[in-house]
Amino acid sequence: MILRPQVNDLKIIGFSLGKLICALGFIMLLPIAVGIIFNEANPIFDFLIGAEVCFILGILLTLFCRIHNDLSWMHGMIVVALAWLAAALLGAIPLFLSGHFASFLDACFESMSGFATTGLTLVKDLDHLSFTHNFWRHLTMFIGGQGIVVIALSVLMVKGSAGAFRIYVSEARDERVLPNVISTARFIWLVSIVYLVLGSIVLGLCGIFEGLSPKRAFFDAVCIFMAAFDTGGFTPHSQNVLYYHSFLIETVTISLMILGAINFNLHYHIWTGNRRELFKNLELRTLGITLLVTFIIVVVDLLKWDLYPQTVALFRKGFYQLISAHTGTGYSNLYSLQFIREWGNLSLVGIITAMGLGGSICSTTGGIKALRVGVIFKGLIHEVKEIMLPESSVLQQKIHHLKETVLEDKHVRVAVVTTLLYFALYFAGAICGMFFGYPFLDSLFESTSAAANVGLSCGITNPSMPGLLKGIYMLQMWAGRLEFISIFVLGGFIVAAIKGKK
Amino acid sequence: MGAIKTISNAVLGIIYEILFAIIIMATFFIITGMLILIVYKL
Repeated sequence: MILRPQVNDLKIIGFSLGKLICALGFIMLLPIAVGIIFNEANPIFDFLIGAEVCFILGILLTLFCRIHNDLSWMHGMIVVALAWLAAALLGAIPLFLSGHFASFLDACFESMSGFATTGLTLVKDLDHLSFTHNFWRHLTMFIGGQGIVVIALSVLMVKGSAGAFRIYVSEARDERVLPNVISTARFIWLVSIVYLVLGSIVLGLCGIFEGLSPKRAFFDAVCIFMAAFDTGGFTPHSQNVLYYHSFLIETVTISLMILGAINFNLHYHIWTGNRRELFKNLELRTLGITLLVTFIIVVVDLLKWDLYPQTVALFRKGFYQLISAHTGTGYSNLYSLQFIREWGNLSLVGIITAMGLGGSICSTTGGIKALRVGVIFKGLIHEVKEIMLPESSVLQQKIHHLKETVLEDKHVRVAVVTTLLYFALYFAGAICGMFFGYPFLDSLFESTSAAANVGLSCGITNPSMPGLLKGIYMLQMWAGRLEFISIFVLGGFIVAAIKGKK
Repeated sequence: MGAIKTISNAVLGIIYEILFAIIIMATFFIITGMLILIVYKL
């Protein structure tokens, strides 16, 4: 039997959602500073309108739903699921007002792609988009990578309640770095801000070295850092990283992608002196192994077709696309159609596998995640050992992830269920793509890229693609970023509201 | 003293992480070269 939600449930959800929307309004004021620096008057008004809509909606929600009850698990998950939808819709307002999008749906797609750190883009004439709007596209990635809830916890909701912990976990963050969730949120920001300063300076200097003006170089540096560290994939130019034709910038972005794919909890351990964890951690070891396996698949195929016969060229093209796919970034120094027209099917399968696997739990990456793959593999080893040993023997399988843990059936079960859900999402999107007439491999490539929040494209994503497919990819990005549970709970809540008993 | 230790640990941690990323990159660069050698020799 399911119970129909009460008015108080709606009020609790509405109140927290209102707060999060107000937080988004404050964030929308940041690009105005860029508008002032670059002397862009019209875009400033676009952001004032966007922020105003956020404040009106947020304040109305908090006023009408004012309640002092704490959030339950159900409320937390619904708030997060709705907050990400609201962010995509409201974040699209200034983008749509820029005039660079064919429809509001396209602007919503771009906004969802940004917040979910995907990187698929529908913007038209990106090279002439204003600095202010361009900064906003990248800022959405920075915000989405850290998590909308993490920002709200760091800035607005200073009270460390149980409800705060519940909405934090609902945003697909399985682990707390510190005992207090507010401190955890602030630590996540500390890591990001430290690397933002370092990364932007290094990238800015690289840009100047490559011949960009200092102003342009540092603007591009901040944008590229936000998209690389948060494994997003947007760049300020239509040709992505290929625009720079710079080995230097490519190596810096590779480092940033690797750093972005590391678990924030692991960052904490390394920053507090436990540096051995870097080599003992199951998640990082799994990431290294899957990276190596997919790399060999890609490289062997590229060599078979004799595409890049020299080490530097093969590294720049093969490894760059692969690390970008595996960390869920989506940066590319190839043209989209080169994937389909030049690369062989085997190398595409290698890239799709890497995209599907993703980076670390509690990082900014999407996909299945290395820890789950590691846990499933350890579970498999445990099963084989159990069969081979005498029946009377008791076997204990341990895994090392930040601390020694005994592997239990429930760990493997959760990992397998989540992995299967990701597979279902990848293939569902591929089937939809095939329905619209795209070949299977192209559809699977684009679908995996959307659902695992990667952003590499084989050319399907463009403003002229079918509107329904845009909607499907948006749903995939949303579900992939939140790792399903919040969305299932939202679905259950809607069903309970319709069919539940009073 | 506590604050100095915390900051020095954090700085060392950042250096370790950056070195880790560079080592991964260098390792895969070497693997690329080795794979080219193996495939073309075969």
